[in-house]
Amino acid sequence: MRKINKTDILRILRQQGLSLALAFIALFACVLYTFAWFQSQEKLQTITKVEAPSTLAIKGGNASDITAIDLSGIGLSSTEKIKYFIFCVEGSVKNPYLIELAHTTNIPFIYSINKASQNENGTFIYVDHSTGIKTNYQADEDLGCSYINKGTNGLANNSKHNATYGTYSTVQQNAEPLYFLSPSITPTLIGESNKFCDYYILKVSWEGVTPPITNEKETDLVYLLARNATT
Amino acid sequence: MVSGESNIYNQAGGKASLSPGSTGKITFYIIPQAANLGTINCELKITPYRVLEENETVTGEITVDQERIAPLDETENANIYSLLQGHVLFFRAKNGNNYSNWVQNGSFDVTIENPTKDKPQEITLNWIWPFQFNQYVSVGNSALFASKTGEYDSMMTEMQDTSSGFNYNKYFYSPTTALGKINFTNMNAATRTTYSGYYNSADEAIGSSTRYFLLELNATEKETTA
Repeated sequence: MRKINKTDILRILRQQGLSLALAFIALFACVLYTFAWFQSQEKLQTITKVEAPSTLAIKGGNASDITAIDLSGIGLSSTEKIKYFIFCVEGSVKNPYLIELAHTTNIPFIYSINKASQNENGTFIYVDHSTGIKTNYQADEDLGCSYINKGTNGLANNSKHNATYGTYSTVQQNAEPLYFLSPSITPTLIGESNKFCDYYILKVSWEGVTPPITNEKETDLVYLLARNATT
Repeated sequence: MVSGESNIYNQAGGKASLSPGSTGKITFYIIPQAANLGTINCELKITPYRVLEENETVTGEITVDQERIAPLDETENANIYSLLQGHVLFFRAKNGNNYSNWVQNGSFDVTIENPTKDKPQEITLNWIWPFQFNQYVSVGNSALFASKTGEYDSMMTEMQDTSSGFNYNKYFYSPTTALGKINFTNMNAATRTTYSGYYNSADEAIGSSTRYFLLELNATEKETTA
């Protein structure tokens, strides 16, 4: 139906007599009716699910704040050729999770992660920096992490290059990170609750590394991550 | 008449549910019922839904996947309703990883060229729930906008608006204090961290209180003066 405009109405008014008023009203009504018809609202609806936020947190020994884990400045003077860091993965939903350690390879340290548990006679000691209180832990079994992109020369191969650097190609071989991934871990719940706090010991060792590492102030980037295993 | 093949299917990794970092597309069709269809005004509205407790009943509750859900109370959760507007963004156009033609305030117009009766016109909306605060303020490859356009400026103005004095606006949320002044000029590491914190707290608040989103699209022909 063609839209009625002002000139049409005027023309009709002049040409017709008595039925003028009626025609006018009829036309006007027509316009309104047509307009109302197009005016009908249409509605679409769709529903979608929202994921609950991750409830994992990495904390230090004794569930202290994450800032307690300080990997900076490893001096090589200790006789045991190892430095360790106690951390925990804390959560409030019983979902399996993974731990990942990603590190560059400027320093040929040997990294390993063991499960840990609090034990008075344990040899791994966590000192709370603010209170000075010591908590002892023992190292339980190895977590079973493995490198997913280690090449034959011990450095990272190219398999994760795109994921890390995208299309950027000039990357020094030690800046290519190695990814150390744990198997899926089912958390140990505390009592009747849904909460858990699993402890681990990250060991950084230079025992048996040849040629021996010297104090030449190299720097590596180390990332410690925990995420839900179901995603 | 509007009919749809609408879905908020999450494009990232085939996940069935939404979270920060999700992106997707909604396609719907407008079918003119007459050839002189004028400009259509579309209104988008997102309503957050929560899961009901076992003995709870609420008028307007619905059941999805065996879960009984109902809309969040608008007065009690005014912050969530507001934050959704700034966290789940809709754009008419997407170019590579960047977006343009922002659907600000949920309203946009569609004009069909040469509308033909019963011939469906496809309309696409690209949506994104940005993962990080940085994606808003930066421009270029990993950001929302390719460059600092007028839309970018509008968004920045909206983000920095804390004139309400509340602990939230459409983008930021603080569980503990009023937001205070937010200024993006000369951000240093500390302020960037603070604002990122507000953005992430908002995501956390949305994710903890909301289980489903209901997306509604209303289409009305705009009045033309004849």
